[in-house]
Amino acid sequence: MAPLKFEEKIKEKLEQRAIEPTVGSWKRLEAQLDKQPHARKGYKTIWYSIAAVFVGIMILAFMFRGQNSVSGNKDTQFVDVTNEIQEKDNLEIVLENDTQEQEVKEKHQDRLVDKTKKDIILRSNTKKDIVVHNNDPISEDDTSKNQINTSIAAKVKDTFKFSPPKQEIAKTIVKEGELPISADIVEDKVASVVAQIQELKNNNEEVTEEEIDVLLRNAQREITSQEIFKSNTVNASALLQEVENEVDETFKQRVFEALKTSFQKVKTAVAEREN
Amino acid sequence: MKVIQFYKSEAQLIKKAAKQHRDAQQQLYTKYSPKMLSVCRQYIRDVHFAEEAMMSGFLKVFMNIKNFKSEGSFEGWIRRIMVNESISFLRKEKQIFFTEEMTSYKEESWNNINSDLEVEQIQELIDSLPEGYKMVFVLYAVEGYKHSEIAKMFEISESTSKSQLFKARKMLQQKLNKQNKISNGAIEI
Repeated sequence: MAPLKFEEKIKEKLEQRAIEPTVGSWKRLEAQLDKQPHARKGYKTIWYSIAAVFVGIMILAFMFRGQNSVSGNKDTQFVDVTNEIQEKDNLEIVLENDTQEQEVKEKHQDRLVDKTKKDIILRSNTKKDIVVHNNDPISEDDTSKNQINTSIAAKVKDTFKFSPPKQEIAKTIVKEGELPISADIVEDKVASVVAQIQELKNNNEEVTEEEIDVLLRNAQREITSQEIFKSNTVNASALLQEVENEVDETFKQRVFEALKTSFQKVKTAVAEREN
Repeated sequence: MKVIQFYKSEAQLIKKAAKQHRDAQQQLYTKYSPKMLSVCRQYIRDVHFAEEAMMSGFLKVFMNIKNFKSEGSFEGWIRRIMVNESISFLRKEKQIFFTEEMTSYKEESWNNINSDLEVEQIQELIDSLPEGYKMVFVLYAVEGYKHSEIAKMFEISESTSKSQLFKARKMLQQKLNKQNKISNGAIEI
């Protein structure tokens, strides 16, 4: 018998053989299979988690976008409203000032004319009279001065009234945007401006509108800067307010220029009428 | 009482087993486990260890069943896994030795060898071979592996594989002749 034949016989017999595994071997195998992480299920969970993360990111992105668009709209509305309101306020204030100033200036003009008349009459009188009459014009001048001063003070107060409407608007729009301009500071400034005008009057006899305007602007700036320094914290809305004031400066200047020209016209008209 | 669904074709059974259906896996196990335990037993002398290797082999089968391409037979695929598992089991146990010593064998005839051996007797003869001889003999003569494949499997040279087979055959011939002489009543002096 050849070795190959013998091997074939062995192969045949071994292939036909079957050995039954022990009872419960399947249960053991099943338990081992249950312990194993199934690759298919694993992939599924990975894909599900990736999909969930993607969906979550998409939702967040949409929400964020929505918020941005809403806030953007609000911002634009905010800016538009403030500009409109501020412009309207300025116009109203200017109109008020215009009428007040015109009235004051007309009175002042009348008084100046009266004063020159009295001065001429008084010069022709005796020394005593002169002394007496010199006192009169002074007293008269004082009263007129006082009146002028009160009118200037009123004007100063009016100019300082520029800010309150803005503050009110700022209060309504910006919750914490209140400008803390205290009454004491304003009063002090009014007094100092009036004193300065008085001083100028004493020195130059006449105070021009330009000089008054310059004084008022300076006083306004000082008040706002003092308030900022007093608060120790940089208030964003206060800074914004200051910038807005600066921006409105040109508008104010134009209005004051218009007032000045009208005053000159009235002045010349009155002088011509007298002549 | 557990109801087990029986699938008609093996392909269907394999598909279901790939989807981790336990009943399909159980049917495949019931069908192939006796044969596969026999395969493992060819290499591993202890039947309990052989069963352990078989269980480990089936675990790999069911975990990788989706990779099975229906080009070859499913039985052949499982059989290869079982052979690999048995060899790795023996490697873990460090039971495989490939001896290079050339002992002189007497040239004996295969003609008087009794081929009507029972399968248990055949298994006993195979078990009596040294591990190296046994591995190469079973892989080459029973499983049909080539020397190149065996050499790659055990990281040995092809000539070593060939010499191991030659020695295994010689040893088996000697043992079979000895058995014949005993069964015929001849006394060896």
